Amino acid sequence: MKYFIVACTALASPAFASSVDIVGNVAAKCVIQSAKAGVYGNPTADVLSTSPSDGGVLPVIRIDVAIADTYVANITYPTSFTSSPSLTDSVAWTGSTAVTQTSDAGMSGYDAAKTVAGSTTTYNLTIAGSTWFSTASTATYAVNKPFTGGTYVAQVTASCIPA
Amino acid sequence: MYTCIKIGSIILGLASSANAHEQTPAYPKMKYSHVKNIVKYELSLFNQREDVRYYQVALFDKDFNSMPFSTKYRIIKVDYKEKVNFDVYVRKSDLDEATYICTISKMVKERSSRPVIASMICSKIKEETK
Repeated sequence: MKYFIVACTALASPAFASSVDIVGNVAAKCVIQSAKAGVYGNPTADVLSTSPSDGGVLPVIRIDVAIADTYVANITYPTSFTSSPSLTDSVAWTGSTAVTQTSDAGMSGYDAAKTVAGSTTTYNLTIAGSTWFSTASTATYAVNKPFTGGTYVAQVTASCIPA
Repeated sequence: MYTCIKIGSIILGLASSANAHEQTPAYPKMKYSHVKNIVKYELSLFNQREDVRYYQVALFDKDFNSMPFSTKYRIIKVDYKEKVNFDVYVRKSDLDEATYICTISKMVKERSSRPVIASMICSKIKEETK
């Protein structure tokens, strides 16, 4: 009888810890990824270009934002070599940045809304998700002078700044 | 002549899908430090860039002019897939102008033969959090 009462008491007990909360928080966040390598082609003696038609490869940067309207992306094409053989003359730089892929159809207007100041292109990231940017870069050496033989290194800068 | 130029390794970025730089929070909250008239901001940096191990911490005003601040290390070593928390100390008298706390990827010189995209992520000190 004693054991029967104990068993009944146990069955009547409330079930503790029957539910566990999972709490999540989505906060404003920006992630910059270098999605694809860029390579300079050398179509003529005095030109280095990332354009595919010049034998180059456009570098691609992916920027992810978790919440809309919280970040501005600045992408700057190079205006100097970070390392190169010794050059005795000046190099003229040109470049541009464009959106090449998006995770949301609404981002298709980013290019139309971008602003360009010097070598920097600014995008307002008004939609949450991922955007892929490609940057074209061309370096032209002094007129009629071929680039000195060696390895040339340049750098694209991507920034994510809260609005 | 130009055919002699070794162009193959002129690269603007690394071909990797796991090359990410992440900093949170976007809008850090001011906290009082243990030193009078010095406030503190707590931030976190996550390095998913295989090619980068060092990040520089910087404080800027709204026009991206450098401002004085203090932190344990201005160049932080963050291994791949590692998260590092760091504090930035700012004088209360500088709070009116201090606007952006940023981390900037840095390359060691030996690796620069295979350069990467430089990344800079900022957090903004909002007026209401000062």
